[in-house]
Amino acid sequence: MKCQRVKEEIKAYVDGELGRVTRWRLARHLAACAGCRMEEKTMTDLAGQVQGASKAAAPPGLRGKVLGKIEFKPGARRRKWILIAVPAAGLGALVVAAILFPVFAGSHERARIAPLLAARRSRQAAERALPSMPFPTRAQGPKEQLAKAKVNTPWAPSARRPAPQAGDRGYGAVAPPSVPTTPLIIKTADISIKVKSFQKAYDDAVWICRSVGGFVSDSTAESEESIPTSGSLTLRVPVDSFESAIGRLSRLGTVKSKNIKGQDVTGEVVDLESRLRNKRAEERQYLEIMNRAKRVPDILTVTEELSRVRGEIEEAQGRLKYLRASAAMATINVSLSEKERPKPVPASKSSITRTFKNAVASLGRTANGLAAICIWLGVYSPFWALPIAAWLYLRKRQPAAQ
Amino acid sequence: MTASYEERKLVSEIRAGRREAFERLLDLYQDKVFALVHRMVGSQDAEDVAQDALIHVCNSVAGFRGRSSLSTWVYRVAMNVCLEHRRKRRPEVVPFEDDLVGRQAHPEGDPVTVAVKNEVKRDVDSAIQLLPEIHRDVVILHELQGLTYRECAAVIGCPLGTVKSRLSGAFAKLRELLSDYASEGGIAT
Repeated sequence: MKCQRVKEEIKAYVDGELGRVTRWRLARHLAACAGCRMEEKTMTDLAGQVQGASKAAAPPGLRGKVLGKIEFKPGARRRKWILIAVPAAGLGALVVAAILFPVFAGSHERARIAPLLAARRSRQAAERALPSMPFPTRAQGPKEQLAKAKVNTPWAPSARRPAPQAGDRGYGAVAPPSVPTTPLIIKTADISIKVKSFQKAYDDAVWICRSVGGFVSDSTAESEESIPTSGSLTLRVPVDSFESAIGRLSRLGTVKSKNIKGQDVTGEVVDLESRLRNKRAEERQYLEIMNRAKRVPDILTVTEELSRVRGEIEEAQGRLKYLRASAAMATINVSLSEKERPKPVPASKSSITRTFKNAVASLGRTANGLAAICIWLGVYSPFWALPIAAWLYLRKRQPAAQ
Repeated sequence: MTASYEERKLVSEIRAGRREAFERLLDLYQDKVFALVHRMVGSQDAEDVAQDALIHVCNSVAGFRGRSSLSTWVYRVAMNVCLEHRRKRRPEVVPFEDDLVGRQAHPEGDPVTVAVKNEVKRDVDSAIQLLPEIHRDVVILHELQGLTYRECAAVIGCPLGTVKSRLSGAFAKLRELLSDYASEGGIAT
C-alpha cells in the first residue's frame, strides 16, 4: 500500500471502519513507514479534539413542552405500501367498472327487451303458420276460423287477418283490385371498376347488357394518346336480370365502389291510378252532359272542361307509363377506368434524396404516433391523474422521515 | 443494523398509547436530538426546531418498521427537520456561540487548564462551523453524535463510501484550521 492511499484511508482506520484486509494492509504499512505513523497520530489527536467539542444539553423545559403537544392514543402502524395500494386498488376498481359496466348495462337492456323479443318471435311464428290454414268455407265461417287461430296463437289475431286472395268471396273484405301485389321499385346502381383494358371491358359490358335483354342508353370514353383509357356506360336491363347483371359486371375488374339504390314508387302508382279512375268518371259525366246540351254556350263550356280532364288523364297516364317502364327496366351506371401503370422513378433522384424523403416521412409518422399517444393519455387522464394526485397528497401528509 | 428487542418493545408500547413509553423515548433521545439540532441550526432556533423534531418523532414513531436501529431513525427524522428548517431560512448562517463553551465549563481542575481547554473547544467549534455543510453534517453525526459510518449513511441517505470520503475531506480541512493544535500533538480534553 502506498502512502497516498494510506492518507485517504487513515481516517477510517482510526475510526475502525475499514475492512479486515484493508486494515491489515494499512497496519503493515504503518509498521514500516514512520511518516504515515505520524499521520495516524495526528489524525487520532485531531479526532479526539473534535469529539471533545462542546455538546449542548437539552433545556429543562423541552421534555414537558413536547409531552404537552403530543396525543397519547393508540396509533396503527402505517404501512408505506398502503399509500400505493389504495390508489392502485381505486384505479383497478375504476378499470374493472369501466369494463363491466357495458356488460351489465347490456344484460339489463337484454332483460328489458327479452319479453318484447319473445312476443315478436311468437308473432312471426304465427304469421308463418296462418297462410297455411285453409280459408274459410261456407260450412266453416270466418268467425269460427278466427276463433281457431286465436286458440293456436297467443296473440289476438283479430287485427291480423290473412290477406284476401283471388277467388275469396265468402270473406267479406275485398281490397281494391288496382293495388299491385308486388311493389314497384325503380332500381339504380352505380359501379366503378378498375380494369386492365378499357376497350375489352367496354365490349364485355355491352355484351352482358344485351345478353340479359337490355340496351346501352348512354356511353362516354376518354382517351390518352389516342388510346381510350376510361369511360362510362348507362345500361338499362330488365329488373329481373338486375342482380345477375351487376354480378357479371363486377367480375370485369376490381370494383372500387358500388352503390345500389331503390326508389319505391308503389304509392305514387296507386295514387295515379285512383286519380285516373276519377278523371275517367269525370270525363264520362261530361260526355253525358254534352249529349244533353242543346245551347251553344253550354256545349262550349262542357268542351272546355272535357279537354282539361282529358289533358289531366293523359298526364297521369304518361307518368304511370314512365314509372312502370322505369320499374321494369333498371339502370346501371358503369364507370370503367384502366389501372394506372407504375411510373418510372426519375433517374436524376439520388439515393441521398430518397433517404432524406424517407426520413422525413418517418419523422411525420413518428410525430403522428406521439400525438396519438398524447391524445389517448389526455382522454384517459381521469384514470391516471386522480390516483397520482391522491398518492402525492397522501405522500405529502406523511412525516418527513417516511 | 436492525432494531433491538428493547427498541421494538418500546415502539410497541408507544403504539399502545402509553405515556410512560413516550417519556422513556424522550429521555433517551432528547439530549441527542437537541445537540444535533443545536449544531445544525444554531442556538437561536435550536429549541424550537428540536421541539418540532421531537414532536415529529413521537407522532410518527408508530410507523417505525425496525429496519434500522431506533437511534438511526430518530436522527434521520431530526436531520430531515433540520434540513427543512435550513431550506426555509436560506441563506444559512450558523453563528458560533461563545455561551456554549461557558455552559459546558468544567467546574473542577486548575483554572489555567480549564481556560486552555475552553479555548481549544472554542477553536474546534469555530473550525467545525467553518466546514461546508456536507462535511459538517458527517462530522456532527460521526464525531459528535457517535454514529458509525453505516448509520451516518442511513441518516444522510447517501452511500457508505460518500460518508468515508466526506469525513476524510472534512478532517483534511479541520487539520488545516487546527494546524496549531495538530502540530503540538494535541491537547487532552
